[in-house]
Amino acid sequence: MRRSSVGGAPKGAAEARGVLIHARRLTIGRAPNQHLQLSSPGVAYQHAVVITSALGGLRIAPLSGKAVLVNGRREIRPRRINPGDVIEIGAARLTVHPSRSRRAVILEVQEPASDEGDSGAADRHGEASSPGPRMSPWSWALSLGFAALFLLLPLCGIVMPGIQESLRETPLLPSDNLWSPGPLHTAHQSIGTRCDACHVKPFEPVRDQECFVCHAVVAHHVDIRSNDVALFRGTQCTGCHLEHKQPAALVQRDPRLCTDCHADLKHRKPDTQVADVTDFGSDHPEFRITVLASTRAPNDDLASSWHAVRLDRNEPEQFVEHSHLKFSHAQHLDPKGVKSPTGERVLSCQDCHRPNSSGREMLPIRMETHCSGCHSLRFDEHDPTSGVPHGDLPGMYKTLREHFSRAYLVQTSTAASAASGRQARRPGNEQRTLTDREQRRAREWVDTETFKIARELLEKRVCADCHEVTHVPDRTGLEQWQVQPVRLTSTWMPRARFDHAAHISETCVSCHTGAPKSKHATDILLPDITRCRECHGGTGTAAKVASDCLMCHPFHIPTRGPWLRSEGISVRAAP
Amino acid sequence: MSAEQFELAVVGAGPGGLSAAARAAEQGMSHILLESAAKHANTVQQYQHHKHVMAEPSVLPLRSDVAFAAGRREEILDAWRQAIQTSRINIRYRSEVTGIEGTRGNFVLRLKGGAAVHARHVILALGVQGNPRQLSIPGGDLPCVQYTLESAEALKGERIIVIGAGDAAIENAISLARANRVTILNRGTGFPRAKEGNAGRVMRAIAAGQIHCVMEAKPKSLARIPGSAAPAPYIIKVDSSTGEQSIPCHRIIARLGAVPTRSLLEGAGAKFLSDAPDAAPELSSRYESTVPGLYVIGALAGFPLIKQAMNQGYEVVEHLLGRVVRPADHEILASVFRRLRNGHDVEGTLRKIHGTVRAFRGVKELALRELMLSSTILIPAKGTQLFTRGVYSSSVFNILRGEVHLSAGDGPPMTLRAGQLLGEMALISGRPHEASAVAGADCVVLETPHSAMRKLVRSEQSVRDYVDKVYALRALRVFLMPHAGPQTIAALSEGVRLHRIKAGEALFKQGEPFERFYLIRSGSVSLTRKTGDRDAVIAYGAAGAYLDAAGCLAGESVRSMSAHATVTTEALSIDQVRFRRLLGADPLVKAKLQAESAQQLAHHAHMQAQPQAGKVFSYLMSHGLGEATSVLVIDEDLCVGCDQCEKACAATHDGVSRLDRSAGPSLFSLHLPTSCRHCEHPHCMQDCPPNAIHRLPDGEVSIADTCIGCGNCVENCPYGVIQLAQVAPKASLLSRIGRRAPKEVAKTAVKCDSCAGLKGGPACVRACPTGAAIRIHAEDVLKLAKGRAAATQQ
Amino acid sequence: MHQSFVNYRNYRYGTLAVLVTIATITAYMLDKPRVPPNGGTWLGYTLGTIAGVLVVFLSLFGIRKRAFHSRMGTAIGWLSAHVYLGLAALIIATLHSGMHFGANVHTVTYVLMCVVTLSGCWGVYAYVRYPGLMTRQRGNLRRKELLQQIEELDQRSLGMAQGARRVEALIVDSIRRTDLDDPSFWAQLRGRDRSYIMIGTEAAVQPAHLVPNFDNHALIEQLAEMRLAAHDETTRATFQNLLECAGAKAALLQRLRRETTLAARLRLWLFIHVPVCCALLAALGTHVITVFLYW
Repeated sequence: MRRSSVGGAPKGAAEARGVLIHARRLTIGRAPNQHLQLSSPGVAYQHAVVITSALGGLRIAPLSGKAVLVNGRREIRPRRINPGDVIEIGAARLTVHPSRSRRAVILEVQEPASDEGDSGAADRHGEASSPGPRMSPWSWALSLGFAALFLLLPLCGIVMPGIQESLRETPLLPSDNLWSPGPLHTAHQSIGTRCDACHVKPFEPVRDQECFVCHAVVAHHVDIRSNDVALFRGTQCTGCHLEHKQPAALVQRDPRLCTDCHADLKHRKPDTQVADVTDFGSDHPEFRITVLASTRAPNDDLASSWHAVRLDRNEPEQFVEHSHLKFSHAQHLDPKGVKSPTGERVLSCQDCHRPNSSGREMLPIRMETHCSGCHSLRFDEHDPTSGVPHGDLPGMYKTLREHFSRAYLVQTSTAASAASGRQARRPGNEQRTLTDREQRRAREWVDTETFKIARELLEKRVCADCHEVTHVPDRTGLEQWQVQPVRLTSTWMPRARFDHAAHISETCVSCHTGAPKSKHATDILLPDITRCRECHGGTGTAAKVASDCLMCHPFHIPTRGPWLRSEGISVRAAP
Repeated sequence: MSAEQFELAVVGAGPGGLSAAARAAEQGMSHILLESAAKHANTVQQYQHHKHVMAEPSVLPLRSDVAFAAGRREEILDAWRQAIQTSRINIRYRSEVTGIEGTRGNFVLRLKGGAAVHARHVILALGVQGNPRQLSIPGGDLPCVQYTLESAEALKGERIIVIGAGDAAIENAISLARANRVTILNRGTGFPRAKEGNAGRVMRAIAAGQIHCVMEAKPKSLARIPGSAAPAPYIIKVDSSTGEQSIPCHRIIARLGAVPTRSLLEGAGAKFLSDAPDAAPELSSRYESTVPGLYVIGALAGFPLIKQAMNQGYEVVEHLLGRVVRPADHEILASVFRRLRNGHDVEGTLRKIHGTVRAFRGVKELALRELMLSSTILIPAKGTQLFTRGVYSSSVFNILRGEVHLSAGDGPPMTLRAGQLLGEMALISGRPHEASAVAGADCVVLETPHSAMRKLVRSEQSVRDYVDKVYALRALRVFLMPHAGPQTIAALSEGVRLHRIKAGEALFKQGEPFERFYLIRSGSVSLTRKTGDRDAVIAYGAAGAYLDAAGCLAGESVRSMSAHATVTTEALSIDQVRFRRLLGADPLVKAKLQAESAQQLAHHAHMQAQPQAGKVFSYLMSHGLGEATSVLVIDEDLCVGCDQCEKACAATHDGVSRLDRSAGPSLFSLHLPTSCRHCEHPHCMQDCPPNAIHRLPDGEVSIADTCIGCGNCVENCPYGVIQLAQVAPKASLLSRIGRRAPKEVAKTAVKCDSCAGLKGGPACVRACPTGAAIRIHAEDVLKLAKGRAAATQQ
Repeated sequence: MHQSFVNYRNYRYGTLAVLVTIATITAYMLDKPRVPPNGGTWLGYTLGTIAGVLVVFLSLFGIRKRAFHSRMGTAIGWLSAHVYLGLAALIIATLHSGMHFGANVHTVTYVLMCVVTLSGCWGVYAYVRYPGLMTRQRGNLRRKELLQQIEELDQRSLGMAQGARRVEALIVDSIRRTDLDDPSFWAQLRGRDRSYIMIGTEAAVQPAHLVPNFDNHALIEQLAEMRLAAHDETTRATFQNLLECAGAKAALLQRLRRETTLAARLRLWLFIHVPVCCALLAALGTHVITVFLYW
């Protein structure tokens, strides 16, 4: 084992007291755990070590930042010590004396007889609660550090857009993203970390322009040609669409956002048609059904224009739909079935009412797909070819004529062969053309037949089954009939959205209760509000399906035109 | 040898003497200035270095050819030295006057060493310090011997011998012991001549081994040791109780007291006002003693302040030159009396007051003048309160005209007329007033501060007697028999005796015959009863309390308890027999006593039941709560040692904390830090040259800016709550941050003033975040401690 | 007559704090904002303002504590308010947050606030509990007296050891290397005894080496051995006395250390409370600024 030894001369005492110390590293300092404890002023707790160098011999190594003078020269890195050297540590002097071993050193220690001890005792007498770690540096460091990390650096990003990106992209660098109080809605993920995409002007709430940059053609709530637009001056997107909030919901569904106006719309818009509403469950007007009504133009008797009328359930006589169709749901839904080419057949709603691909609305009813299965257009039961086209009266007449003309020709040829029976048939006899007289007789026959059948179809059978057929006054012949045009209402409640798919669990008749008993096509079989309220309650209801306004009513109504017309463009132009 | 002849001989080259000589020189008067020491202004020379010397009283104008203004010791001495050189003063050093003979016209001043000086007039400006007695042993003239200590800080690591047992010796020894090995050579065995405080301190120091003391020591010889092997260059041989011993030393400080100047005066045939050691000689308004032509000025004449002395020197010379010179205080007095508007000039008014006020009968004019300097004349409107019961005040009142109504306790109000004294109870007890005084129709009163009045009482027997008499009469009435008529009280007061006992002494002991009935006048006593082998404290009587009323009523023949003074205490006593006769005659008093003695008995029993409380009690008493009025108490269960109290004190008092939290006694987790208790009779007030220490209306004892930093109060305070400190300019929050070093300022005495003037009470209490520190009255402290004791007992 | 900051003016500020808390909580309960509760609703802003003002006020205590001339209440009153309102402030801040937390400056601020408040609670506990403990364990022997006694013991043992070089060397060394107060606060806190002693200082006998000297144990062992080794009566007696001194010193050292530790514990919490509080102020500022910077 390496050994380094120290010979020390205690202060005051005349004769030297030898102390032999074994150690690989001889520690020197004022701390009690140092091999060589120096209590002189200017000596640190751990000040220096004497180490045995690889090349043999000993070196003294000052600990970082501590001053050790060897022969008066200040040494920072380990320095070899040779006999005769004088090492000064603080006020203490260590003289190196020659020793037998190369791995041993004899140090003579001279410490000034200072009153260090007394002063030491003096400061020992301080209260137990003497300094301890000083707090103010920590306080400053922490607060300034925090400000720098969370405020200043991100601010730099804002002031110098150059570094903004690197700040945001580099993982552990603080950027203004640290300020985001909550995550963005998935719909806005594309914005990513670019806070300034929306927060353009500091200390100002986000303005609509920023939204319009992307959402330029958002439909308005009111007709943009009307003056009602004024009612929405000052309304901000952020009024309803809040970001960074949890739970992340782009559209705020709070009914008050609507009822603020709609609870008492009159006093904002006196001429409004819209009834007041506060809550679906408790305070919502009865549905008003919109149907198409036809009005015949006076001049042209055939053409007729259609317009939507909103019907009030409370006036039953008006509450009918005039689709100029004859239809009895009751008859078709007869549980005993209806007769069909293939015999008795029991029909269900789905046989005619099919949902569209989304399943929300129903496909329109078409004669060809839904009715013709049973309702054939043949005027002669026995003749499968005797079909008339649908929805085309002249076409029907034409078909009939052709039919009877062919019939006549066939008839006369058979009669002639019967008359000249003795003489042998010679080829080419048929090709003989009719005489004028025959032709006139034939035309007359066809006309009468056609007329006969047409009357039958239009007044008794096929057409009359479903259609209203009217007589045009002071007309005769085929011109006297007219089939009223049919137009079925597709959207009964254009202001609301109803989703059949969402109600898949229900049967049709559970809402359209009237259907099985309805005998007339004029019946409106839509459920009334009470029916809905059986399941749907207002917001905040627990017993039923809590239904806020937006469940049925959109705010941005597609038909009303874009929220901003010119501005949209201007914003696009703007950076 | 031929003795010189001078017109004027001035003895003592202190400020007074210098001023006189300078004037004489200025006026071409043949004169001589005799100084015993080798330097001028011996006393000032001995001030500690850089001591700031004040020019009090500031109101007094300086009349002298020698410049003097407040400043450093060095500056002032220098100025005087220059004055001596420039003005042709005929000064003679190292010529101590040993005797004075003759009278006006032909005085003979005998000098030490046989020479003599003839003079027609003599001015004694010796001061009170006198000439230090020389160390008269072989080798006494070696350079290592010195008779003064200029600064203790200068000496380190020396072996120093201090000879003497007086205050000077003790103070030197203690200050030196910090950095040196000090040995005291005491001729006697104790320190009887020293002040209580000093004696105690030196005893403790000796017990702790900080100072070595040789008792019954007689120095034999002093010699230098050749060679430097020995620990010290000199060695002194001393005869002591333990035989002869020789002590090595570096230096010797001989504090053998001084040849009292008084003896010199008496030798010359001058008379003194009283036998009290600090009594002044009998002087005319011209400072002429009873020996014509012999004038006494300065401290010796009872005027301790430099400016006074200088003025007097000037005035006397002017007077000798036959000029009419009004005393310097004339203007001040005139301004004091101006309010009277009674046509008389100053002297006339003085004479009038002298005639009217009974307290001042037999007071010499000079003393009266000085009293007037600090007094004020009040002309209160009818119905104004001069003082209110339960309120501290630091002045007494003498009625010059009209009448004052005094309503005390539940008795009918007394009416006091011109010439009578008011507020003597507070003066004596040091407690709040016992009565309220309301001015009557067109009355004029003379208000005199306690300090001045006490000085008068100390020096003038007649005044003392009068005050005692008045006190006895009033006390009997106020405390005992509010309803009794004046005759009864007068009759009773005839037999009243006054007892003055030191702390620890007994007023009476258990088992003694029951002879007299005691009424505490000032201070306080603790009553103990011996049960079995131990003494149980059963009660505590402060000023105004009467002791063992129950025993007196019951007519016990033997004391059933003992009364010991907790602090220096004064008590009145009445002969028991006489008193019982009175009781027989006066049923009211009897009823009063019975009621109170019943309470006392109950209380005694209660106290006896809990010996703990008794212990606490005597413990607190031993720490001076007997005379405390307001005490800072720290609950150690709440104190977190944040030292906010000290910081607050420092912050509110120019950066010097007047309290030391960690120091001081504590028991039952009650800690009494060293901080002023505002004693009833503040020891610090006792000798304060500029009268800078006052008691404020709310009882705070505070030191005014006029403090000259002499350090007397520091020595006098038994509780070590006063310190000499360099009071830095106001330490604001800002300067607290930017640690600017305060510029060199004079050291002055600082102590707790309960933050008088600071609204909301003492800063230390207000700054304590945990509510550990409170300042309460001594009695409340006792209650508190008793409660704690009881709590710990269970 | 003494009044702790806990029950100051019988819980004046405690009651105040409770009232404020109840008021805010009820407000929070009753409020039905259009958006889920958060700092942005009018109530959110109100609560935020209250909490912020409170935090600032609480940190003002640090200043008031030093403003000794101030007549704005007493320090104890302030501390009492500081404690109770501090607790209230945390609750209010929680309501203000609307329980929305995330990886952002706002949540950090809230966390800092929690840290400050918790360390404060710890401090209250320390202030209520430790002074009593210290008084008990200290008896009526203050630190100064303890140290004096230790020094007396040292002097005595030195006196006894005089002459016997080896013993004297031992004693001197033990005294020199006795660790009376470690300058580092943490050492104080752990009450670590960093005393050492150099055993075998007689070069001839064996090379000297340092051994820890906890509570003088090493010294006592050495002395014991020496006593056994001693031949004549007198030396044995001396060693006996030395042992007694060493034992007594050990006991004193233990007391000293316990007191030091307690004193350190009494202050430990401050080193969290104060710096974090400063950080909190910075955080609060940042929070407010950024919230309105990106409105």
